[in-house]
Amino acid sequence: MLLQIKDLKKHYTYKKGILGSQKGLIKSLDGVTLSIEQGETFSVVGESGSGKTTLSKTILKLIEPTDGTIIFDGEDITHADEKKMRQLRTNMQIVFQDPYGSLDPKWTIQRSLEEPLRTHMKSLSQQEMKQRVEHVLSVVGLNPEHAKRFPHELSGGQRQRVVIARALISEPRFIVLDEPVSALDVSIQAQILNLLKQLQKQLSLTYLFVSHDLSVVRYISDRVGVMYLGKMIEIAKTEELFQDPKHPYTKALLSAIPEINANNRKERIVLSGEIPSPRNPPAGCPFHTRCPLRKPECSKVVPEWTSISENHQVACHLFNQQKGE
Amino acid sequence: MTNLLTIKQLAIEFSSPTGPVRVIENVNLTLEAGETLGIVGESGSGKSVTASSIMRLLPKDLAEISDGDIQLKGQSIVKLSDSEFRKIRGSKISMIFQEPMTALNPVFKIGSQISEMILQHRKKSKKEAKAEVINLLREVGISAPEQIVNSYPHQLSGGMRQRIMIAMAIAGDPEVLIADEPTTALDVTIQAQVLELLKKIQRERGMSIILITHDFGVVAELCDRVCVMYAGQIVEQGKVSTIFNNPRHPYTQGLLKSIPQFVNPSEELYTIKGQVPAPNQFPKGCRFAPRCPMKMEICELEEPEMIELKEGIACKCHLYRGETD
Amino acid sequence: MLLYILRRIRMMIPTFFGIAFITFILTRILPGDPALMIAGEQALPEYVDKVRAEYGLDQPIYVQLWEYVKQLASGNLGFAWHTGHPVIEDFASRFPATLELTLVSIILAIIIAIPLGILAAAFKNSIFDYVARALAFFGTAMPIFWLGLLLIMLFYANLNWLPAPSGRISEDILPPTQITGLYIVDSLLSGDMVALKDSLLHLAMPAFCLSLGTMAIITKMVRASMLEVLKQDFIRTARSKGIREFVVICKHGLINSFIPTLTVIGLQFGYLLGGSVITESIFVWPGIGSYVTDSILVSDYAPIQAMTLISAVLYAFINLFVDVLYGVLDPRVRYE
Repeated sequence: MLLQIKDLKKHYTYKKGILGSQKGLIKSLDGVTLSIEQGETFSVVGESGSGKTTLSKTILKLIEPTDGTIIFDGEDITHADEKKMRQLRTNMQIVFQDPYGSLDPKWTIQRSLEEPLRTHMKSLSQQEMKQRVEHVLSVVGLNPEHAKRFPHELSGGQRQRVVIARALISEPRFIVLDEPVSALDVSIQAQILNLLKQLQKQLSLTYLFVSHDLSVVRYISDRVGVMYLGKMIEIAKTEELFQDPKHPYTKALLSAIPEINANNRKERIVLSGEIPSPRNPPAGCPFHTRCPLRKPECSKVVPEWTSISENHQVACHLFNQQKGE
Repeated sequence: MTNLLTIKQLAIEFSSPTGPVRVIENVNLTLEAGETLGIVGESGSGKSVTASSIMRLLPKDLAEISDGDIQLKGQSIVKLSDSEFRKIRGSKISMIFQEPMTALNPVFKIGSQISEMILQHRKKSKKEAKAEVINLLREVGISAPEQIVNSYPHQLSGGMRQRIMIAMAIAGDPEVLIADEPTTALDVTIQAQVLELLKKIQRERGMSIILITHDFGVVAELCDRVCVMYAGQIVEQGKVSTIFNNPRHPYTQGLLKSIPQFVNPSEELYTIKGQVPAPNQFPKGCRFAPRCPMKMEICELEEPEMIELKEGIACKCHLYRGETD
Repeated sequence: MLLYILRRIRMMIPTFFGIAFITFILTRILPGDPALMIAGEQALPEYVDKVRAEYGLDQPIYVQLWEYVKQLASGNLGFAWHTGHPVIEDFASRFPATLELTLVSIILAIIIAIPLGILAAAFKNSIFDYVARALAFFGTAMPIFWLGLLLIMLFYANLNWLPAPSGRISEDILPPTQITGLYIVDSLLSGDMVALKDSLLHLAMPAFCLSLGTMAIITKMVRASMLEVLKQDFIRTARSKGIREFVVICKHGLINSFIPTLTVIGLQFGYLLGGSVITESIFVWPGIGSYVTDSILVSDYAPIQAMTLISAVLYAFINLFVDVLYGVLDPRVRYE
């Protein structure tokens, strides 16, 4: 077990009322529990406002959690201070969606890649640094001469390779990939996905993959967690989730993927309405306002986390009851 | 069926410091009444430029139709004066865009933005226009139209705004609707709603739709025919089911193979080597030749013709010389 | 909204006290001995001491400050010894002159700058654009005193089209009946066309001189924000509706590009109201600017302090007004 998260919460307060005297609460992350094995790819899917990005940032403590625990490699890092986190970050890295925005346009690739080394491995000599940069560039399929270039001189796919190289250079064990291919064209996306898979095998990396693109998630992950309004609502092995989703939201989400092959096309469940505002979340099950299978208790009681099989959990009253009967 | 919109030998040039650059060349396509035509391609393929040129929305000081013709019901619309063309914009052809967040004017109410379209093209009083707006909003599935007409864009979600854009686009009762990546910025479940809405509207109004997208899944869901664009040219076109089941052009084949949806997770994704060339670096001969796995000697020397194949497919590739139907 | 305005006004009060305090200290640091100035350079030292005691200038500075605060709290702005009137009276007689000059300048700037900025943006690299850019260049680069002198030389000395640059109205013409204190408005209200024509002619040069810089800044601002707005997606949407380009620009573009411009206009207006010292001196304009200059030259503390405070108050209220106007123009801005 490389990473364990227990009941992780992130709440934001905002002022409301005429004089700003009352406080409102936004529960961006509302009690998420999950664990990620060494060497696996765990994906988090969800639509905007589901809290998937907050989750990934909170795990890396780029955002301070409000409550809960984060255990990385057997060590509780929930309250680790900044100095401790800086050490830990050599082992935990993140790749963001937008390769344009995450590289400094005024820095050469060389300088961008050296930067994590300067903070994490101050003992390296100039020569060693250069070697490392060359090595990591070749690992992600670029040439040493790319190091001299500036971000605007590279294509989108090459830039995303540089961002991945920067995450790899401190030799981490765990990488959060936050929508790493969403900004890329299909053919470039395929290159990056292949690269990520190949790197994982080569370097025995563990990934937390955050995405809204379900076909990408299906291709890359071992297990998938589905989030809705700050809550995890279903976790299962990838194929089990895609073949036999349990939660009505997961079913709707999967049926909404536009299917290219007409033979595979399933009956589409079109949900009514949109995700409710996190400022004013529904009581009970967060999904009950849009759920086609809603029952009376759904609007009152928060469904419990139920195991369907060893690798399949769901938070839905439909399955709570089955167990009771 | 009759040809509603015909594009013949279209070429578009953009001015650049080094002289004019042809970003679109030799584009021929027809849109029949009541059909949905998809134009797919990666970024830089020229799909959006083609669509914008139909609506005359390219920046005047930069872009120019340098060759070819666009005809609406047999009448050329390229040579119309601006004031004549305005009578077509919105009433015969209208358009919706990718970013519903920014496509509406932030300072005007929804109702007035839609009624502006009605007052412009249809002889109606302000009061009649108001009633018509309510009907339109109902038609696009907005449940409380009386409230929505008085709200401002920022008060609405992305899905709502895209519905409003659609209501606005059909307000002038056009014969052709151009939808430029209409669901790209939306979440999957909202995308499903909008796709269903477009289908419904087309069915009920008998409109023709041109759908610009990079997503093959969306094309498969919505379109009858599809054009695949690469580097400013159409490389393959035909019936959606035929092309997706049996793509002929090596580029289409490569693209479809690189989509994760089709691939078993244990296999590598197919990748097309290299990247889309910039418009000022389009190669001679076949533009896909440098990246093509089936390249022949002739490919780099001579530009292939568009060849009519069986099952109504046309393909711009030397592999099919002499295979004319 | 009303609550928001009240809250903003409440927030202003400590600012005003801060400004009063700082001005008080700064005037005391100024070189020059007011007692000596009042008594006259040739006065005997005993007499100077007497004057000093009479005006309380011999008291420790914190006592003087306390006296000043007490005076302010009772609404008294003090006495200007160099004019022999209470400051408030001087202000009442001079402020209309400055207000009239400022209003005319800002209106002149707006009616030229906004259309020019729009045209420059809509027809980029056209003749309008060149004019706008030239104006922006000259308006910001040209020193006011030099421009003023050139104008006087040309229109008064050489062509003699405009009256002598001295005051608001010719000596042989009676000012219009005082209603608002603004000669143009007053003469219109009382139908006094002679006074109207003469005061307009007197206003022409100083108003143009003062407005040129503002005109340049507003033109630049309108052009830049209009260019930005015209790139927006909603402009493309408006065009795709088939409405006329004029409507696209003036309806969909203008309000959106006016929002950033509003800040600049507000700031400029506040800045000009504070007294356009140089312009008023060149054209011998009997306004606040020349009054403050005179006060500084003779170390007359009370009017300096009062005028600083008054301009701060005006500035703050103009800012508030601009912010409120934002809320009216842009529905995304909401005050709670």
